[in-house]
Amino acid sequence: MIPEDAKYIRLDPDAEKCMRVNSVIRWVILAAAVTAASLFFIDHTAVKTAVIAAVWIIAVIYVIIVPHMRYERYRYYIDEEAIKVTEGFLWIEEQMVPMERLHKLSTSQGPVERIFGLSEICVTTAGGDVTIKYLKEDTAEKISESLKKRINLIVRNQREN
Amino acid sequence: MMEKLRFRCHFSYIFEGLWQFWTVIALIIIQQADSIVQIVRDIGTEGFTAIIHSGGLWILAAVILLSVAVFVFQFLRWRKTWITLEDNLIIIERNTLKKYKNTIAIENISAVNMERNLFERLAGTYKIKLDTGSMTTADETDVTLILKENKAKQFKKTVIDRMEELKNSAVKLKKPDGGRVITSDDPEAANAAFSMSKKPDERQTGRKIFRCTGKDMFMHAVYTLPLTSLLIAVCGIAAGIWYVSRNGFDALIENALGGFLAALLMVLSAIYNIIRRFVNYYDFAVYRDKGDIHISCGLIKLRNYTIPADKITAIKIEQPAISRIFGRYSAKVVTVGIGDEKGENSNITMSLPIEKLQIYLSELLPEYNWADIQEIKKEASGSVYVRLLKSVKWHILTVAAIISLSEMTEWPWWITVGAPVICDIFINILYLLSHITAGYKILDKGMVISEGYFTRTIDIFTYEKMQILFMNYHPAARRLGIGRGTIRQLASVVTVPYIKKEEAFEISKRIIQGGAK
Repeated sequence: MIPEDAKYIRLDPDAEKCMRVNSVIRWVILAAAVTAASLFFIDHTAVKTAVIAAVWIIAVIYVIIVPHMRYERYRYYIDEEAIKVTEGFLWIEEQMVPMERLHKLSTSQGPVERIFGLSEICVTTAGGDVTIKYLKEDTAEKISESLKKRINLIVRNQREN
Repeated sequence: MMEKLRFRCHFSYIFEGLWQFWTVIALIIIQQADSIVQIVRDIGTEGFTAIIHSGGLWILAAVILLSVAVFVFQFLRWRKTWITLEDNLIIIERNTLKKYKNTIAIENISAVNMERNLFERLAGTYKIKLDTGSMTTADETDVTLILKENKAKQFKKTVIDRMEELKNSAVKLKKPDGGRVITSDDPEAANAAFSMSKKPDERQTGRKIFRCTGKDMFMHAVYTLPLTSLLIAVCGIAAGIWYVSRNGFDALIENALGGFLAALLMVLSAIYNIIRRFVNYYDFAVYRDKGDIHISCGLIKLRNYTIPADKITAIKIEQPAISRIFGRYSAKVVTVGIGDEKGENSNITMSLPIEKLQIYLSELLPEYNWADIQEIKKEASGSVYVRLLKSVKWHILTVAAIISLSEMTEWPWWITVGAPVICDIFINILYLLSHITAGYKILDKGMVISEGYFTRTIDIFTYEKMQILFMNYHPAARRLGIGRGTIRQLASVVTVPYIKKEEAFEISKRIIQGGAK
């Protein structure tokens, strides 16, 4: 049982850097697309300038503030009975999945995550997935191994019952 | 050990695969009807040479060759596809260019359905659909077979018998309030009773078969009519009557033919909806046999579903807008295997008053007797303020839309202001309806959740079936200590209304325990 006062685990500091780099990439692409669209489709100079300026200012503010806040908020907790992940910026999302429901486990590493030595674990149930992101490679490896053992034990117990 | 059975689908399988191709050809021919008529005329005047020069004959030859190629492809597919039934497995092997072998464990089958459309009635065959409890294929049928009638019934009986054996013992159902235990002694007699029984409460070999009369089906079609279709149809008729009364029918045809036709289409669409539901649910009948629920319905396309009760993920009780006004409810089961394809429905009852619905559910699904759908708790206090705050973004968008439309278009003010304001009001009405409908009950064995806008849906499900709990805390909701989220199960996602954080923790505890505290 996850106690209400459970000690959640925070992410490694490299996770914040990875989040920031991912944000930069996303917002540069988005801002560039909006800039190009504005140059092509908006005739009014003042409106065009305002739109381009707004999108780049929002991009800069987002990249500076949001990754830090998301890093501060991201927590996960794993015990014998369940996995719980808390994340978000303004809207906080909590995901809880009981161990008994797990039937698949996968790990993956994006190109940016690879630079920072991070990976993510995705656990699958009959109702969907829950992902623990931005884990250090060795941490992900340990969690993955212990979850695999746990899943095997659950399947064996279910078969015996 | 079960004897190994190996067989192919019925030959008509080839033509069932071909009809879609021929439908496309028929549509193309209809579209090109003028050209075809011209070709025929040209044959009469100039002979075949002109046709060859114009290319018409080449097109005809191409269509014939393509038809032959598709036929040969379907024939080879049929010829090289084998179905094997051995022990606890159903194996479908295909040995065409792309070989595949699909192995399904019988214990994983969540639904065995039989259907029969007009073509299959003529050919004397049945379509059997098997679905497994797999999330990957939750939105599609896993296996579709076409077999001769007696072979289809034998195959279905064999699979169901095998499923029962694998459950190790006959399932004794919880005694409903009447104290009667429903067991299966004679499946043949029960099936005969199912097809011949005329009265709703006729009992043969201990089964209670619920049958619907023509009036039940018609009223169900009316109670479940989409409100938007009805409103649009009524508004269309009212507008038409108003216009004709002011300007006469000739003026309507002359000046507003498009509008008249649109209104007529809407009325016909509403009538069609009623007829379609009546046809789909014609001769609806349902009964429980050991661990399975059997449903039969349909006029043009006969459907026969067998749903193992332990594969049911949840019960969904629906109250469309008209049903809410008249106090009617209809129940569906949520399971992988029903609802994958157009026309499939998982109703186990028609629209009924609450007392009768409870009788039906206690007979068909006594496993869910713990769920009381009356006096459902409203969502957490403070949720109104959160919804009001969420609606602010729509007000801002409305103002922006009014300014943009006024600046950028020449439309009259009642469109530039009226249209965005009407949209904003409608969205806020949806927020209000959502709040009024939302509710929940946390019980020992599971949860009851109410949600919806015009249509109210009550979901009943056990903690054992819940897979993941997602909770989302809006910034304002977080301050009030409340949040909303979703519960994900196999083949279903249910929205949790605004609840307190402590209650969310309580739910997660019960999901982990898989039941009562």
